[in-house]
Amino acid sequence: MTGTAATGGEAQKQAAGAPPPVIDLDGLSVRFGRHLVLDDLRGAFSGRAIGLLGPNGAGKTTLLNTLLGFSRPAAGTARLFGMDITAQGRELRRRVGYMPERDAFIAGISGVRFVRLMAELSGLPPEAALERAHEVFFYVGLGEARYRNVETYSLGMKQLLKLAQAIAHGPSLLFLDEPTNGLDPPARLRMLRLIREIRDSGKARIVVSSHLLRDVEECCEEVLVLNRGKIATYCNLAEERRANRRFLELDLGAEREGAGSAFLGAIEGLGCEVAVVNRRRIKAVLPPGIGVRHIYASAIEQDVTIRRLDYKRTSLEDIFLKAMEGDDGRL
Amino acid sequence: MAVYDHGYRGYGGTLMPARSRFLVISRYGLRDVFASRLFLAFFAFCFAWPLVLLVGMYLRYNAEALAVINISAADLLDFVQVNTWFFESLFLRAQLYLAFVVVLVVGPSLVSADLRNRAMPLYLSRPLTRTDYVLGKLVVLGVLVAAITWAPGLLLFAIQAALGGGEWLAEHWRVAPSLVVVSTVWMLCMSLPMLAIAAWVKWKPWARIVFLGAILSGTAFGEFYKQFYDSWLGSMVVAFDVTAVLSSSVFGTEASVQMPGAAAWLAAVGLVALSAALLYRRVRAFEVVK
Repeated sequence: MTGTAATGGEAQKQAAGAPPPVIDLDGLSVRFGRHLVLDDLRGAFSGRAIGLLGPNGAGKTTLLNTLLGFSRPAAGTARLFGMDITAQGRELRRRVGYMPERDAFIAGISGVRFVRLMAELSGLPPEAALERAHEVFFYVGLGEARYRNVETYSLGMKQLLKLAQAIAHGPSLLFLDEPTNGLDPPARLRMLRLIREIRDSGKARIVVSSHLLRDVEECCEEVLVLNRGKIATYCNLAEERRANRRFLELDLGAEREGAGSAFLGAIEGLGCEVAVVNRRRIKAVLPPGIGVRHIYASAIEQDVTIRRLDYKRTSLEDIFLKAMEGDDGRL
Repeated sequence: MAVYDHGYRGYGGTLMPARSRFLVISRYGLRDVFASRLFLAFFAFCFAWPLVLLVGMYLRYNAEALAVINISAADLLDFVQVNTWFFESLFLRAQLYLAFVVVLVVGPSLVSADLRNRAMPLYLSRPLTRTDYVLGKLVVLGVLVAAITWAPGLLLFAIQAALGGGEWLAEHWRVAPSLVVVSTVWMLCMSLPMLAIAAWVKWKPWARIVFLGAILSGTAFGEFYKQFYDSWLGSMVVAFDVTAVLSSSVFGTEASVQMPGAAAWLAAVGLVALSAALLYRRVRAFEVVK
């Protein structure tokens, strides 16, 4: 694990007076029947906006479901703002807003009534809930459609409606599951802008689960990558960017069988971190003291042609690809 | 945050008590139910029979009014006996049939749409448990059933007690709690299976058909069992028989069906427990496909 994540449970031991981490995973495991979906997750995450990434079936939605109390941990536990998800679930859910991935609404009522109901269920008195419902409708840009029946909303409007119900009660933690699903480009940009605004307001921490790297990169500061139910990596995107570690992107042409693998071994031997994009393309991070000339020297040594070499700053894609690498070096 | 201030802000105001949060669901449910004019008309019709009985009770004690409509007091006293039978058979039995229609019409619309439109994660991501959700929906049916069964029943009882005096009240005091108990038990026995079926079927018309089918097939099977084996055990799956025996055991009258009271209670408790278990299996934030 990289970045600012502390070991699970260590949040408890942090200096007195320091605010507890947003999410503290303490050996969290979740099992559906015989299938272990989340396997001993540990880590404390404190970012303003945390991106939850991973391929399909990695356990992203299960992690959100578990943090929301929908699934019971098979082992371990998790804490949000220092509160245990099982022991203090009801109190926690008062402070949490959730935007589910799939279509979810209450049929037969107007948008503003739907959001008002959701706010009331979170504990707001009826008058305050009505006021907030109107406010969030204008905030997400659906003000004109607030009296329409929710079933008549388009897909993009339903996404905004889900966001509206998630923020109506002013949560301090917002779980957004695939918030840009099915949105056209302008609607997607609008959704991302809203997420960034909420993040920058400092009133709510955000966890965005998505398989779209670009979306996460645009609105998250920290990224937690899951793979096969385990934490593959955790990093602070802002720190990564600040560190300005320069990446090289290389397109290779191997003259003989096995030359490519030998070249990879050689530059790894130089201390480079290497991620394989495909058979012809690799990305490498140069350690201090190693320059491009060393890479060219290795290429000549291993009989490999470098067809293209670009400097490339760390992108989320690189982090993700690196995290997804299997034991055999392939994706 | 005013409407013109399009910035995000949290909420720092007062909060309602968590324990009564399920009543929000009930309140919205009741408002939705009464949004239908057709239902409102039917609901108003449900009070017609208690009104007729009320008029009858009033006339029994009002010789002047009887004289106006040319009926002798003695005839009416013979015709309308206000006793336990009056409340159990004449009033409650008729009202329970109407309550059955209410449960059949309202029940499926309470949960099937929520499950069909995947609204459960929205409910359960709030400080609300599955029990709260079910309780909130059950209260809707409870209020509606109470409004047409024991609530007018108690009103009739109170008026009769006022008209009949202390002697009548001392003789029939058991009627009042019996009205409440029988109506409530009946409501649970009908509402929970209806909600459970609606949760599994997710489509209102089908839920109603399945519910009616379950009652009719239970009755057919029970009657066949009774005839074939000459045993009261068949009555345990006949809704009418169970209701009749339960009612008799609570009101302290003689049952028209040959079945021990304990067996009727066992059938009712079993039905409620089974329905609750089925309902809880379905009322979840998400379904796990194993």
